[in-house]
Amino acid sequence: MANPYYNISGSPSVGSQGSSAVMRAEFALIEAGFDLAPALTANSLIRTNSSGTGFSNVSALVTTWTPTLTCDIVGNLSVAYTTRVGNVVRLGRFVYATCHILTSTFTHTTASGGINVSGLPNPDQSISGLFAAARGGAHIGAFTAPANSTAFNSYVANSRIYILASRHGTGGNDNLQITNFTSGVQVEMRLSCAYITTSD
Amino acid sequence: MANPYYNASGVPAASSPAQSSTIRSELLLIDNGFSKLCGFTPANRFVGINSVATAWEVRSGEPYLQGSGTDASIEFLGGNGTASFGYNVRAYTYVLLGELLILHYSVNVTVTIGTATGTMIVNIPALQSMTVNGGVGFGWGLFGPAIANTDAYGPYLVFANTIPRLAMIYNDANGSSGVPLLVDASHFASTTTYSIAGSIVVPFNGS
Repeated sequence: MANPYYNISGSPSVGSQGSSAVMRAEFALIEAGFDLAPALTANSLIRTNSSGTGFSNVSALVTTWTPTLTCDIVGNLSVAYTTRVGNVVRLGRFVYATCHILTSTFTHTTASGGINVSGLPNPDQSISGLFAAARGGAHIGAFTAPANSTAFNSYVANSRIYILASRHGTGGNDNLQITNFTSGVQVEMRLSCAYITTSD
Repeated sequence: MANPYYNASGVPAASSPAQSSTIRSELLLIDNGFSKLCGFTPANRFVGINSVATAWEVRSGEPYLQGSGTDASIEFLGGNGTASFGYNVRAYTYVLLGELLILHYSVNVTVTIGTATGTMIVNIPALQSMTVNGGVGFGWGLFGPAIANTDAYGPYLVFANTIPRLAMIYNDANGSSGVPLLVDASHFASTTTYSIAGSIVVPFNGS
């Protein structure tokens, strides 16, 4: 059956004398067939390429990552951890990441901006500076909620997980700030997020 | 090591006279081994093993597609009437994994609502050649300036004129209705800039 890799050419022909050149040519055709086989890229699935002429590899990986609790302007933020684990499932450009952080030290006086978790293993494909992640779960311990906040969800921006506070009434959605978390009080976060990364 | 594709038969035997038929037979075995691999079309499809475990196959119904665009738009299902739209941002990005679609979108638009009526819809051109399997998936969204007494928004995949499009659900925080509501033209003030964004994961059939 004809296939795109190697199809017997009929050489050597019936009754022909042995010819090294003929055999080398046949072996070259076989090699060309192997050239079309998928690359042996670790931790990947195979797909047909965008032009329908060969294969491409798609990342498929379950692994861990190390989350770091930080904020937009770090100042003198100091964090140490009792628990610090992250897990991630990646399939192509789709990434689903979770993490659990429990601090043993959490102090700051000059830090400011949105509190976030850095260290995601794959960068996010941001959309015009706005969020680029499906809503994730957010279980957060020990913070002062902004007025009228009714829901907290995690999302990914700039390759970090932020926590969005949704406010009732006048609405509005703002990142939880480092200043919503009291210096010296233990912080616990369990976060999850699905997002799109930048390469297959 | 034995494999399901090609295993050398041992011919030609040591010190045997060259025989073209023997070589052709061996090359045919190699040919048959390659025939267990699959072709390269359709493009952008996952490759797997067939249901009878005899060969590779291109999973034609399991696409791997990713893309983005800057041509998202909004409209109102009751008709745009005299409404006008001045877009500042109209971006989206998506990944289609087999039959699972992950879509993020963001529209910033100055709307002069005019006589528009009906449910607000976000159109994503990349969706319009796809078929929805069903369900609404899960997602979250942003809509601002916010509707009074609301606190949460979410994209909602609907069929409109046979084309899957994204409406926006919001929660009535007063609980008077008891059901999620859809953002519609009545929620738009005249000539105001709105941020409309969402993210959704939903079962899909690729085109």
